[in-house]
Amino acid sequence: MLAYEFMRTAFLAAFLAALVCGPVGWFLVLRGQSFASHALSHVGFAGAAAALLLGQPALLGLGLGAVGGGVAIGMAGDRLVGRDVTIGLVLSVAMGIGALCLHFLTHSASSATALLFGDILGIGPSMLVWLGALSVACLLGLAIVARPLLFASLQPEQAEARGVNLRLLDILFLVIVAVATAQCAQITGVLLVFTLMIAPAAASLRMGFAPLQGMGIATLLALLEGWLGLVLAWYTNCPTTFWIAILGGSVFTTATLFCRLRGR
Amino acid sequence: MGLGKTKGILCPILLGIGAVFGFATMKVGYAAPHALSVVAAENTWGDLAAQIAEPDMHVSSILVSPAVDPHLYAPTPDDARRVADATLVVANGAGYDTWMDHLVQASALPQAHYVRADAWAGWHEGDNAHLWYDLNAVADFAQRFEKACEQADPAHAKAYAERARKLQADIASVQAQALALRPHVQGMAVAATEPLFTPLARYLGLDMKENDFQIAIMNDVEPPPIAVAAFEQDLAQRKLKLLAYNVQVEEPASKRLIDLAHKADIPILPLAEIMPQGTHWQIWISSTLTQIGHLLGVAQ
Repeated sequence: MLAYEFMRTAFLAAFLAALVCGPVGWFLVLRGQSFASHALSHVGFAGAAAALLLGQPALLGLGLGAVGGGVAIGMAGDRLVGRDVTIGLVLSVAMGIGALCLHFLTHSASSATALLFGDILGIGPSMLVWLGALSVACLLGLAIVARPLLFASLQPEQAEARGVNLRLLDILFLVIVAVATAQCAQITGVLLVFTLMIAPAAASLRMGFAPLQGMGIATLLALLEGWLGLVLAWYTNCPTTFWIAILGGSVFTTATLFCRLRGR
Repeated sequence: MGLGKTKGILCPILLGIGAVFGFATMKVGYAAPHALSVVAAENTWGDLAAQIAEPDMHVSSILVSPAVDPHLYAPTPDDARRVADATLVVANGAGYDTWMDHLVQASALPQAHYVRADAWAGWHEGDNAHLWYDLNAVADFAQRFEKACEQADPAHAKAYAERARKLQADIASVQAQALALRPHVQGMAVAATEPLFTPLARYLGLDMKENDFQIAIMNDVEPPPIAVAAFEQDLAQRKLKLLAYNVQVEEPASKRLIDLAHKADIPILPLAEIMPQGTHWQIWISSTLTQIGHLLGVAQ
């Protein structure tokens, strides 16, 4: 299986994505923002459609669109009320713009629609370098904000009283999420970013680990999901995305059952 | 939350990852085939390639069933494997099958072994992507593909050249058929529910209407209301002599138009993106041309 260049690349790409998805997803679930990651990937899709219209690469549009969406959600977001309303609104406005871009497009939109379900088997060497760079950027960013972010996530009032700028932190975090989403969308597609980012993290949180261990477990679970998904796809010839999504669901279900049985 | 518990969870996960990795590195099955092979994205180009390359190379196509929309296809691991093992890969290009570009990129196949129909000098970014309906593009593709065969397998160069000559003669006779039809149908107003018919219509000198509507349907967005209204009016007033539609795309919006055309007694031409099985490109296009002549009231 690894004799094939495209499989080696796919394994590496899944590894890079898992590296980012674990910690970023952990914070997302902790902060109750998992809907944001789902929304940002869709906003990114609108960005990809716009990029196509301007003759730019779809990945660039995807990244910029998601970052723009993240900033918008962070700026407009209110900590106490209407978080999901803001996210939903940003999402629908972006999708509307995306539809408009596709409307003005006079040639085939297939390179944007290909992003919907991902293309892990079609990642070239240059794309892999890009994914690696995005991973490093994400992890660096997260390492910088991790400490105040954790504080702000668990005890927002106290954090604010200690002079932590919650809104700025929120925006910075959402930008990191946006970059991670753009990267993850290459693997699972825009529609299923949730499965690689949220499912392992949710399972890890369900089992109740300390932050660092929790993030580590989430990363390992994401890696297991991605790699096992690739192996299963190889032998069954079903789409990788399908397997990753199914595995995501089962990882979370197993974790839940496990905790129930232990009476936690 | 002791260390013991972390270990209890960590062990199975690590074991799982280790097992997956071990499994992945195992060398089971799938030995690279020895014979030279060609993989085509769609069976239209696969058929043209096979007429030149077979039997010296084995040609297979990824999209062979009219049930799938090539614009929206996502390749399977098996497709990726076939591409990685291939000597030559052919595709339409023009943004129509970008997934093939990605597979080729990921497989480390030399660019010279990837023959795309859109490399034809007559195609420019943004032009119509349905190149197998463009008779000049097909002739050019056949020529470039034959060169690629000779380069990849010099031992059989003569055989490739011989078969390519035969194919070029067939393409030329399809072109002659179209040119004979052209004076009879030139300037007639026709329409289609998708831009599939445009290259052939241009070759025949037909006047293609309702282009805004067609692009919207191709890209799965809502057609502009004004375009729909104009289309329906042109059908009702019988301003169009022919309505072509894509049998592979069942859109409510285009279904309505087909019904309207039925009511207005406007001839309807079914077209496809994937060739029906058991035929060849030249037979397929030639019968389409005959059908067009027949529907437009030209006896050939």
